[in-house]
Amino acid sequence: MNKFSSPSIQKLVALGGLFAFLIVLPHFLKYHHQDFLIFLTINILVVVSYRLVTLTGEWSLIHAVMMGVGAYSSAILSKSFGISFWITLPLAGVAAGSMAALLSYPLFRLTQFYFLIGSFAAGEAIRLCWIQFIQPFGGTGGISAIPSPELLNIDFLEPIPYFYLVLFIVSVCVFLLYRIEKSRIGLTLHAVHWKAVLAESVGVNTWNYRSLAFITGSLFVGLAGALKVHYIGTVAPKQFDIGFMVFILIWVIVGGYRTFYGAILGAIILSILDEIFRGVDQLRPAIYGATLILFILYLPGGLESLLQKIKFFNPAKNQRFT
Amino acid sequence: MAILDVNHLTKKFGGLVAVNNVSFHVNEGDIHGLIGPNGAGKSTTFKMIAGFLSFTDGDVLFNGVSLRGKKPSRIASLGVVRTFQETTLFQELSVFDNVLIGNHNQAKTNVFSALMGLDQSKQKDAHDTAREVLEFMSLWERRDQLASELPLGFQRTLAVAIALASKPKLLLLDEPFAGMNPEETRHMMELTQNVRESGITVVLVEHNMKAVMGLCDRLTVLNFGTVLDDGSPERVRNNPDVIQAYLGGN
Repeated sequence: MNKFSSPSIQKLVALGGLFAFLIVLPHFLKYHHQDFLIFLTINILVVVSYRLVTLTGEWSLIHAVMMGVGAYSSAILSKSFGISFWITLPLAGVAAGSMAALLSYPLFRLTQFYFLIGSFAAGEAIRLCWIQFIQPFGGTGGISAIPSPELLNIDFLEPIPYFYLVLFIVSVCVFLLYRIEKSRIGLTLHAVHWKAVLAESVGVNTWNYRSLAFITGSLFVGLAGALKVHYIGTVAPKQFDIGFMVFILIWVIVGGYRTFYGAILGAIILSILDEIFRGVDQLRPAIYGATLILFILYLPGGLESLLQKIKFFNPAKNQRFT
Repeated sequence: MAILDVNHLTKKFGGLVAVNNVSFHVNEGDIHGLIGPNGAGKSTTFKMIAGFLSFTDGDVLFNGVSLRGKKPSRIASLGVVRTFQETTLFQELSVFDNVLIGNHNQAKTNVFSALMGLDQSKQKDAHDTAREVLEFMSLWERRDQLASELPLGFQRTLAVAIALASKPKLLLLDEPFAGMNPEETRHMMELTQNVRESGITVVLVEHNMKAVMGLCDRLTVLNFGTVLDDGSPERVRNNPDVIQAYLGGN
């Protein structure tokens, strides 16, 4: 049953190689590329946590705002109350998770398109509160001068130490989310997605599982939010608007939602493409849009379908639970 | 002894009374048939027992416990599990995983245990149950096939296997023989007998009279939402009202 007792040697070596690469990588990058790497790593946690929510078949439009809930909580707690980052980080997850738990009651009375619209409305309501309540959220300008983490004598204002911190936390979170998906809970979420009535008929409380996925996904994206704002030092409502939510959706859809790594691929490749065209700012949106259309036309299975053609990734097993 | 008591059950859809004051009981260990012409209210009654429709009035008692207002998942946990008329399966999963999901109450876990691997022995037991059920239903050889790749007859047995994996005390079968050829019907009848012999009470809604008469210990006949007759297949078969309800005329 335990899929983790015997990962193949090749996969362990590949994983080790990947981490070695990621540890060395920032030393060869320019300053603003190091920033880019940090945001990309955080965005990987955003898409992977979003994947957990979508496993039940409900695509929400509130994930970006949930990231903001974590970000604001951590920002306020550390700036106004002087609490250390190492405590506000987990609390950011708890805050986003609790908000999701609260919203589960109205939202999961809805399904499909109604859920999509309901989650958007709930998200906008939260976001507008940040704008309207100047105390404590700071209005449109948000909150600035958020303290950065302190540990020994490490300077977390520098990108490389902060990247290592982000890499560590994101890796642990992604691993945990992977374990959840491959566990019995993942199988049940799958069942809730594809045949909710049948799942319900054998005793699966579908409401509970929908909200469980929503709460857990929100908890992890809350952490991502805190990681982001403690690096840039400011938090503002604009960072978590529908525009960012659309990016999350695009990363997941272009990457592919059938496998765990699809969304990660989508976030990495599309972000890098976007970064490459930084020099031609007027053309960037057009190029981004064109790439998207091309991907959807010629790779409807997502970027993951390209990888599956390579034997190493063992396509047959990705779909299997047992 | 009655395992299921249906008391004055009523369902109204707006002005239409689909089920009107229906009362009957199911004895433990029986195969009990719920029959009647189209529109008699069989399916409505069936759905109300399993919690898929709310009652307008009346009550259903399972071992003395009221099922009124309970969610289907709660009712399933109590031991009343239904199957579906249309082939409702997890099409994109293997036969084995389908049955594994049926094991939910045995295998359910929380996020913490799943992350720490504390639920491993539980998951192993669930796998063992799934294997037993698949062997019992003669599906073990096909465990790795996708549900969507199975022939219709096997898809139906798989649907029953999913329900059995949840360890029901009372199994509700919704038209188990619909669309089956004589060979498949015979196989399904045999399986239903085996299910009963394993100690599970069976209630089935069915149109196939030959199968019903050959299989059921007792029958409840519904017509226009009310109970027309209740008793052994012999008694029901010879009741002139029942014959008239099926054949029409005066």
